[in-house]
Amino acid sequence: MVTSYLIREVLCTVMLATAVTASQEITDDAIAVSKQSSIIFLGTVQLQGETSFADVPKSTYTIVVRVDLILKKPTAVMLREGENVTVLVKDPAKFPRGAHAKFYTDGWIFGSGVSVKELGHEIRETILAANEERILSERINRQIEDQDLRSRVNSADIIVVAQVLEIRPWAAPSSDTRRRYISEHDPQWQEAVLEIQEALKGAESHLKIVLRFASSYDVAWVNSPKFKPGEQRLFLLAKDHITGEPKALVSGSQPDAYIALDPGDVLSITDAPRVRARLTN
Amino acid sequence: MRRTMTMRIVSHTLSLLIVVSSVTTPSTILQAQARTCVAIRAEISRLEASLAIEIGSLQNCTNHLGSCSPGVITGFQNAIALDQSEIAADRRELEIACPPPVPPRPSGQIKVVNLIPARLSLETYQDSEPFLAVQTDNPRIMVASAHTPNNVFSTGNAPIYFSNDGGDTWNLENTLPVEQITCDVTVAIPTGQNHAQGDTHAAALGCNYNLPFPDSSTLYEAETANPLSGMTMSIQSSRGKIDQPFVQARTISNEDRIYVGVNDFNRPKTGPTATLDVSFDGGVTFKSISLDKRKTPYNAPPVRLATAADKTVYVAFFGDWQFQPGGTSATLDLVVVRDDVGGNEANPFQALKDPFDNLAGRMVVRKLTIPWKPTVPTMGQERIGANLSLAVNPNNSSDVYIGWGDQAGDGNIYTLHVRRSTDRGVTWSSSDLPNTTLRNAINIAIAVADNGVVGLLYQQFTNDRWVTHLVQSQNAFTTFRDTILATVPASEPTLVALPYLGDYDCLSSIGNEFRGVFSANNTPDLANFPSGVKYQRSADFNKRILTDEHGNSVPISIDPFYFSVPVIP
Repeated sequence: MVTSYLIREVLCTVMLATAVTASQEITDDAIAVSKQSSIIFLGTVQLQGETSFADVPKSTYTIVVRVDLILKKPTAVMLREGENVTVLVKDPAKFPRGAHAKFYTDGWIFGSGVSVKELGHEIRETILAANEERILSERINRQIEDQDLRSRVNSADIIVVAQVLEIRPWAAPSSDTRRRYISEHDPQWQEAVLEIQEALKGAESHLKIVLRFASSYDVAWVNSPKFKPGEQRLFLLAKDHITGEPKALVSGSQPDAYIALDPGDVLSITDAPRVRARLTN
Repeated sequence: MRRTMTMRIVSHTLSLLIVVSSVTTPSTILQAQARTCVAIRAEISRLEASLAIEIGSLQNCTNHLGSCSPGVITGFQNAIALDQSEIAADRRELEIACPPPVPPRPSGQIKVVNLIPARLSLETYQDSEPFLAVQTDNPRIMVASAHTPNNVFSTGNAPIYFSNDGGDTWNLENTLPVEQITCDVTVAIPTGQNHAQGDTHAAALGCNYNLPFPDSSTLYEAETANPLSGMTMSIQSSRGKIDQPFVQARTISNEDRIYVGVNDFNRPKTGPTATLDVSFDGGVTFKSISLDKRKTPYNAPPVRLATAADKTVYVAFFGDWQFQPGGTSATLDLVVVRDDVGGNEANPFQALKDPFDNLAGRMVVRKLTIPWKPTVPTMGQERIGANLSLAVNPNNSSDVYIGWGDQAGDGNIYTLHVRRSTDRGVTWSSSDLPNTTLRNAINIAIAVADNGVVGLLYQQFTNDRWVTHLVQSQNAFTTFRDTILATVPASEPTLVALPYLGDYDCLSSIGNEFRGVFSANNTPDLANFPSGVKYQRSADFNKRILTDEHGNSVPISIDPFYFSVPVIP
């Protein structure tokens, strides 16, 4: 969390290029600020020191901006081109009335209107066609996805295409002296026995390995991956340093256990070519 | 004993009178019922008086060991059990023989408002388990929480709702300093305080799955002096291995007292976990108080509390958790502790001793059974576990209500109950208050209004629908007025996560209103909301669909709903 705050603070101070074209080199700063932003749009400054709806606290740091082109927004947000939003900016002097800019923002307050916090901006002296802006945005998104996948590939202990043979309940062994906890948030650990069909990193084909996962659909664990016998998936796995028991029992031996808790730990087998490409580069 | 037996005979005779009169004429029925009602009520009063004497005598015996022979003690215990049984039988008889008149409708407008803001009209998450805090001195300001994920913000914090117009409109901001979504969250604004915008306290549980469970369940006690500022709340304290924080706050002599009931897994192995975190300086420092003084192996997740202006604080929890074979149910005791100076003393929460073992903590009910299936949707897609609520009369801290859920053993899945103490928790009604044994219901929440009217919020699974009730009563539910806030399909939308509606909801009393929040299916159908409803999010009530900015259909989901209902006179 601290890291994310630091990144945000750094990004807020980033003044990106004053003009871009769809074909130009995309900077690391642009990728970083895009990744941090939940809402990215091109807009025209309408008012300074004002807000676009009543429930947003008005200050010298709030400006009203007309949304000209939406490049990124969360699915849940209802936002239309042509309407005004409130932007909480770091330096109001950089946004004179009538200025055109690309706003990299995060959501702030959603009510009868939309308000956002500025994470970065690009003043636009030259206005690109909407199509060019979208192409540029797509290029950035692809690079972000690429960076994320590369990071996952690098950090995974093993990467395998495997089939789930069996699901079995699992509890910490009796030598574990921790108490039993009466909680709705218990992960309800289970083990999936996997047969490796193709080893892409750190493993051998045809071996059986054990993967631990939280079977609970409690709000604490609902987003972590669940498995069923017979499923074939691409796994990017780390060794189990979470549950307190690093080894598992399979085929009479006790190899390292693995764990999958993040949705990105498991991909479709159709993603295998993309992953292979990151391994070879 | 002989007196009690005599009364039972009298009681049975009275029952026979009703039966006999019911086969005669209508006028004689009325006469017999009128006489019977008076007689039964008088008998209940007499029995309650003798019960109090017997309990006091037994307490004297246990306070002065050796002063009573074992036979005398057994005699008192038997007399108490018999009186309790008599009172229960008389109350049941009273319910049948003397159907009371329904109280008047509340005068004034009932308000039900979907909390999802207009600009989040495309959201489809399961926003369950809502909670509400009201700024007492300026009740237009309110803060609400729910299992709403941070899927509209890219950075950090979990979201929270606020209103500054008395609940007509709501906004969402991501100011709770918990990553992405809370696993549990409750909010409070100290009552009787004068911070202009409401000094909001949140007790939020963050779940970090990169840590082993339950280290991953981290409690954040956070505060903001202005929930409308859009600024991130300050974390005042945090610690791991905590479950189900429940915060209440009260200002006494310009001192903000913050109370957080938690299930604390930092306690020693196989020992009590029910704990109260207390701050007497607005959350700057906290101390943790272990509440269960018995040799209990575990406590259940909920620890609920009620505070009064005279500094009295009651806390309720489930003790002596014993798993039953199979592990899908448990027996436990319902326990209440009390402190008359709000816990600000050397040995806090010792005021209520149970006459059976002379230990702190009055056992309201012993050996009740609850189903424990936290990962299984059991009733109307909802999981079943431990429900608990506690409320104190704001003008009489001796008057306390407790509500809980269990498996009553009559074939039902889950049953709610309400009982009352009018002597500061020393004795409790020996059976459920009239009309408060509620089958297949969950999410009990109780509050008492300034005029003594008690409110009861619950959600009942009826004919494959979740029906949300607010019941009000001037006389401990002998007569009552039931307001249906929502009646929605229970089979849709399909659950995404558990809890489906919540492990709790919220009811409070502010001036002449009951205010609260509940979660429900958000289909915009006026037939689902008999008391009316207002949506901020885009909806077409004629077509009964949620819509986007182009009028296209948006899938239904679970949303939090705010309500206010005028208190009956």
